[in-house]
Amino acid sequence: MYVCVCRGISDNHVKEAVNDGAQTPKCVFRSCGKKPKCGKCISHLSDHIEAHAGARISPMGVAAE
Amino acid sequence: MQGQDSVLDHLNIVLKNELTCINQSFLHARMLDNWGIGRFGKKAYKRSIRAMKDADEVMERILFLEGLPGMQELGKLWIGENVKEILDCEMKLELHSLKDLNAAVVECETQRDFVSRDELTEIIENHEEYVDWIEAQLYQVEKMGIENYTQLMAGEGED
Repeated sequence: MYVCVCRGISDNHVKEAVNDGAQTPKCVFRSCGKKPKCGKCISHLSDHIEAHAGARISPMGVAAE
Repeated sequence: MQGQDSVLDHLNIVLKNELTCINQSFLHARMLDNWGIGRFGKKAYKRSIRAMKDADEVMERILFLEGLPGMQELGKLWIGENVKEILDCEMKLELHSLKDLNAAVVECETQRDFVSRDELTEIIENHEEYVDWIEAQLYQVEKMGIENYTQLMAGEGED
């Protein structure tokens, strides 16, 4: 689904950005080559980043350290 | 006629949700039409129009109670990228709206504003009807698979 409707950023884009090292909504926008517009998606972007970063780190056991 | 501030606040929250629903369902409708999934598209289109009529009712009530309808604010749009996601996103917004509608009805009861309560109850019926439809679609997706469901929904929508 689309996380940012203004810029057409989907949850897959967020995953890719997180895999490339993005840790904040600002980094995700930069990674997609776009700028934030209305700002309504920021909290949802943070949730997606957190969820995906958690999923990425946990299997390797890094999160516990 | 002067209305209670708390009732007006709740009516404005309901109005915001209806305005969000108009835009979300309308965008979904046109995306589905664009993909050739017209039967689902038509349903989403009708939902959008219904939401506009509900928003109209709420606006009229707010003005009647000498409040100002808040047309500026819009909630977060949940937009799916495929048929299954669209069903999930529509469900998400409907459940969120129903929660606010129920809270608004309780407040109207408390403030003894029975006319607002009756209008909100009618809007709840429209939402519940759509939720029931989405639930049926999700059941079908589960039983027949998303490919078969998409094929079922393809083509021109019914009037």
